[in-house]
Amino acid sequence: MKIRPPHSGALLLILIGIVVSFYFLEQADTTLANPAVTSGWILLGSFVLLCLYGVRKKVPFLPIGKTATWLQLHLGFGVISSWLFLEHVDYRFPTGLFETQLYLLYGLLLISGFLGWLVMRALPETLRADGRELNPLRIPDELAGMVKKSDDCIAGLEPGELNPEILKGYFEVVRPYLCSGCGFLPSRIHPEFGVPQSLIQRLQDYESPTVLFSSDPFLPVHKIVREKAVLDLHRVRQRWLRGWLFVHVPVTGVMVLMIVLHVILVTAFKAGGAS
Amino acid sequence: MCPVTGSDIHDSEEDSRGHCFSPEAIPRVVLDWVQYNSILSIAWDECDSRGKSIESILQIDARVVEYEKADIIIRKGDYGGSVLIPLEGEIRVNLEESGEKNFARKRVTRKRSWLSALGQIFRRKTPVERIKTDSSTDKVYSSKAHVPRLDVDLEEYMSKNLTRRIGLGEICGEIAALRRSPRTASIFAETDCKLLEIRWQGVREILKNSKEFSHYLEDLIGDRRHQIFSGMKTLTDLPEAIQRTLSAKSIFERWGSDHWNRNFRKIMQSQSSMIDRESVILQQGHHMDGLYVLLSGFARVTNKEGSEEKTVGYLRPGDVYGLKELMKLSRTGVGSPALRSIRAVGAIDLVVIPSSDFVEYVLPELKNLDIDQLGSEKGLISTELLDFFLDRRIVNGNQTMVIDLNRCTDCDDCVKACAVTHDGNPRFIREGYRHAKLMVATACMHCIDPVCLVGCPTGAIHREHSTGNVVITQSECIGCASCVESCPYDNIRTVEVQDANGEAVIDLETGKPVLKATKCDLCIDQPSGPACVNACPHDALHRINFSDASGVSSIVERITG
Ligand code: HEM
Ligand code: SF4
Ligand code: SF4
Repeated sequence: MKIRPPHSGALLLILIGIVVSFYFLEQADTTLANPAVTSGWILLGSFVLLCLYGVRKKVPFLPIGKTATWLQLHLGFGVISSWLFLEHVDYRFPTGLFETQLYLLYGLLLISGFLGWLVMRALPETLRADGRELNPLRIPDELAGMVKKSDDCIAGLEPGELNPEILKGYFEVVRPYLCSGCGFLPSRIHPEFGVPQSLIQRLQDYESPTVLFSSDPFLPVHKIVREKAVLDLHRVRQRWLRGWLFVHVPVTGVMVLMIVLHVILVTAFKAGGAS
Repeated sequence: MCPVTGSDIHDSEEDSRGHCFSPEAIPRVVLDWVQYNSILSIAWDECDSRGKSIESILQIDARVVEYEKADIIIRKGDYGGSVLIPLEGEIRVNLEESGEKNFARKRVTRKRSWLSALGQIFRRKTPVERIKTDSSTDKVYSSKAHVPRLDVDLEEYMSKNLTRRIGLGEICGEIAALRRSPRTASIFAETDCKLLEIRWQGVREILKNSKEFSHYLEDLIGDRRHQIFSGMKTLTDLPEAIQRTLSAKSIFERWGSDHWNRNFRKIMQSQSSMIDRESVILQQGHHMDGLYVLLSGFARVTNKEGSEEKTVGYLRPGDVYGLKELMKLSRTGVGSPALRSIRAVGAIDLVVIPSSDFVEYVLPELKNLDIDQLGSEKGLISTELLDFFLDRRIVNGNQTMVIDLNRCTDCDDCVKACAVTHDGNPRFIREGYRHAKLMVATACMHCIDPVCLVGCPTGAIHREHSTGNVVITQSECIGCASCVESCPYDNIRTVEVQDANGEAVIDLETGKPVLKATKCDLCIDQPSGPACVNACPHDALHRINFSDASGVSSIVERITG
């Protein structure tokens, strides 16, 4: 994974963001104002800026800077927002139920953001290393093709060419594996056979894997199983590349609602307290 | 058998052409008139004696077209693949540069306002691409192209501007048709008129079979040859007198196959070595006879290393080769053999300015900066990558979409952005040729040699003067799919036209749905320009202009480095 230098303009804006936030937080400290209110408003400002990225993505036809530059700003303000968040909660766990929910959700949003940043930088390179350029929409067809090819291999065998145990193993373990999903974590691959360890363990009940994978009639099926293992790894990476957004985006939506509520409650409480 | 005329086709090349230029046979009376009254009369007997009658050529490659008074027949700057011979009526060529603005294509597409652009977000996705007819109530449509028209008082225009009448039976439009270069002048109808239009394949066939016709055209083109230098980066500053002298002394050559785009997809599938298929124009180590200036097409520059030819660069139109060798000649008086070989990639036109003429006429006019620039090799990219770009003719692109696979996260934001700006139907596919971590997506490259333009019968697909982008004027497209077949990169599609109610528009004459060609238009009407480039969050998607060597190498270095 390469560290890419950020866009200088974006970097400058982020630095300005830090300096301005610092200035207001210090001011709050010296004027003995409630620091949580000041940090809260700045945190809200950073939240709005972060949400604006989602809006920008919806309007690619407007000449308001490339989305790539906006993402750099998003990442920078994401870091600032994490710091402001900690300042806002004064580096402590909140007490009230609503505050705790808010705290956990904002934390989840930030963590998912950092996770997304990481996977987006780390995964594309490994994703391409297998030479596959698979549109996720094509994968179901690819899988169906594999199952069909392997069924054809078995159907094409002469009677008695494979022992009945192997055939049983094929129908009870190998074929279901070919039809199965890829899961969320990469399988551990057996270094010698190039297929998942878990599959080998299950096959042991039928036939010794060494005998199975060295038997000539089974070779074409073995090749297909190896391809499926590579494809699964590809799919797991694709899943992670997209999957984190299924947390990041909905949580953003929920947060928008909760923060509006939080601001209303706090200002109402303040007004009530003052009166 | 030609499906339309019923004439037998023996030539295998014609067989592969598949269809005739016109759905109707050329009437006998027209053929008789052409035989005795047109310039083709000089070639008639010669072609007959070689067993290739002009009549059979015309039945396949010609058609009769009619224009009304003030119609614009040819626009200066457009690409066209045919020549014209007036049969009836009067046509004129415009010779006044200042008058050209009257012939200019009205900009059909204007940039949207921000408000109108924002409206696109709420537009529903159409099942097939919807191209609206001019009138939203029109359910029927005539496939006769909308001919552009001069919007001036014709008599007054002709009295105030220099124009020249093209006599009946004379030929015009030959330079652009044969050299695949832009039209050099505009032509308009002075009265209602009838013309014989012969597409370039037919003209080449006649040239092949008639020496006399070939000499005639050579002389005609030679008269205007010096104009080609004006279109070139560095030689454009040469005084016109020198340009004329050079054009008289230079050698004009044509290499490679004109049909490269037609069988290109087949060749790509055959996986055979591209370099071996290319004609060698200049062999490394051989006598260097002059400065090689590329007029059209592309050339591969190679260096022999051991027994292997390694690609070290490429030439695009306007590029020159041989400066290093000629500079040595001018400094030491001793000629240097060619340091590299040059090969024709596809069809190319080039001019060789003989060494002595170069030293006498060109060198004194060149500035040191020009010499450095002209002499530098576009060799900052690895041989493998150069081969990748050249073998697949990707160097043709002025706006090639290249994706950095190390950065691309498969998020498809680029495709979504393209869809938002085109009624829900993206104009490119995020798949394509791949070399290591670089992918060339299936999107129009807005080529420097836009082969898709050549067969377009109406000039609907054209290059915009101001931007150089290749765009389709929908009102002029008749959906013949000639551009779809000509594009060697599969970057154009045809789609059905729907009216404002979403119903297919039917052609009155054929009874079939009207089709139009579509492709990436570089978001010509969007306030932002290319939405795909704008939308990529990871700066993975680039548009590359292969004329800009430093731009190419900086992006390539970023991707591969
Ligand atoms: C309050 C906190 C945040 C909010 C409200 C927020 C909101 C958003 C939104 C709306 C998107 C656009 C999703 C889409 O439509 O595809 C997005 C994407 C993203 N965010 Fe955040 N985000 C926050 C914090 C962070 C943090 C702390 C980071 C990491 C430092 C981060 C990294 C990202 C990344 C990498 C993307 C995906 C970029 C892309 O592919 O377009 N976010 N975020
Ligand atoms: S430039 Fe516009 S039309 Fe062309 S591929 Fe990009 S988004 Fe689509
Ligand atoms: S927008 Fe960029 S990262 Fe996303 S798929 Fe397109 S090229 Fe890849």
